[in-house]
Amino acid sequence: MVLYFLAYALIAKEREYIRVELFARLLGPEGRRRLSIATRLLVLVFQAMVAWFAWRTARFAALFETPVLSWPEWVFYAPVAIGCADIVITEAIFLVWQLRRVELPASQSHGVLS
Amino acid sequence: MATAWMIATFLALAAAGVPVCAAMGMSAFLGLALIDAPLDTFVRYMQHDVRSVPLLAIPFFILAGNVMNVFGLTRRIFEFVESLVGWMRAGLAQVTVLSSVMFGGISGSALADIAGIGVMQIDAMRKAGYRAEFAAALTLAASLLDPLIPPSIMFIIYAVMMNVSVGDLFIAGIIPGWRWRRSSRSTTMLLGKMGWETFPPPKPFNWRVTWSTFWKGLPALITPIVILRSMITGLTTPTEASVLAVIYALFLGVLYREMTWAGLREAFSSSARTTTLIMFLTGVGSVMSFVITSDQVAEQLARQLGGLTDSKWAVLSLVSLALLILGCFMETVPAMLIGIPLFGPLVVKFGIDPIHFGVVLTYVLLLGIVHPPVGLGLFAVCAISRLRIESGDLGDAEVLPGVHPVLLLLMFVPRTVDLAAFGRVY
Repeated sequence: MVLYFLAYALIAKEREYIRVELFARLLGPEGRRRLSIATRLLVLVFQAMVAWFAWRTARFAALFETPVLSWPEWVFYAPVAIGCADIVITEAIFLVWQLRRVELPASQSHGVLS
Repeated sequence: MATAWMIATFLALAAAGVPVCAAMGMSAFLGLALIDAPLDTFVRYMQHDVRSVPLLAIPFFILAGNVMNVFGLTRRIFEFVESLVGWMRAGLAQVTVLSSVMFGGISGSALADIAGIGVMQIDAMRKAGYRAEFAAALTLAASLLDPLIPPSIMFIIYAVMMNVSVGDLFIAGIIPGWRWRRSSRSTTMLLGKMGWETFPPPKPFNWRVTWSTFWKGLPALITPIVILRSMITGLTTPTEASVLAVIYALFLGVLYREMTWAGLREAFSSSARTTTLIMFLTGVGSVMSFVITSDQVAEQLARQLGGLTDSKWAVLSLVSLALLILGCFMETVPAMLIGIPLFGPLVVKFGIDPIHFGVVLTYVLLLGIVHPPVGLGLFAVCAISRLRIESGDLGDAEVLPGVHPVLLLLMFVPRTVDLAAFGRVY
């Protein structure tokens, strides 16, 4: 089940995030670009924080094993750290592209949540 | 106080266009800091709920719905329903609603309904001469049935968060779903009778076509029965039933000789993405839920409301209103993840059955997907019908009035969600 967190990197790569674009619609093209850079930076910081804390938790969990199968507990935290680190790399690449005004691939809008 | 800051931060970030999961995550970090909890706990709580066994049903039900769509099983259901009720007045409108009920018994997701059977429904109605706006609006309204008719992804999330039985919630959703179907039908008929909507003449009934589509679609048609029956009889848990649904859908793909590697890949890939989005949100929502619980918000709200009223109906009305507003500005899953820890313990304290509240909450939040500014359903249906949301083309205002009487019924007649009362009430 924890593999969900690995697959989340794919969502970042194809920019399928669920987002509310209330404010962005009111802005012009340059304003939208700047807002997009700011939101990307926030995503980057958030994912870096999660990756860091997941790494710390996985290191601590490595001291323990599951009761029945004797699996190391870090197995359950490592996908979060790896998945989020992957997102950080993806978002950093996108950020550099955006700063250099390189056209990003079209977003695959998605979201079957309800 | 920590909760107020956390929610305010989330709303501000979300409104600024930060992806919902990051907005929830950043505000959850802030919430943890404000209640002096170590930030390391973020990952622990994120993991905790995601590892629950009932939640494992979500990817499988999504996969079952996608497999049914990709392998043409949804088309067979639609063809049969069209031949069965298409001869009635406003026949295709009735086909739209009834086929959504049947598809709801497989997928459990409103947007899966729009993306799958919705395309067929709108195309068929347009070709038959219905107004495109009406066709789109009715498809959107009918898609709301999916999360109420078991299996339902929203019910699974609610059951995990409120620690109630998934099976009980599934059963509780049947009658409200059916009531909504009847309400949609009545509203459509009323529109025709008042002359506000003109319907093309229906096709004549043809036994031969009905019989043929019935036989062709029979294995697909009994899918909801297989899923429900296995859960109601106790043969399987909802999680096992979800796996059964996938196996059965794959078997039908082979049986109908429509299974292809490309289709299979598409179904699995689409399901993996959708599941990941839901699970990441659920994980981050668990952290927010922990902050809300630690902050004792439900107790504080109960004290404040207790000074104003001791009527559980007044509390339910206020909570429903708050959820309705929340649902208009947020996606359903994030809204659930915030709404449940805030209001769930509160309504239970006032003596409202958590199963009853689960159905009301789901229904109220579902209304959010048909309302701007964030209605994903609205965007999805506009995308497939090629209508422009900004121009206000969609005639949803015509169809939606039928929703509200059902909501009132759900809120104030708890027996509506009691399957045992089916015979007495209906």
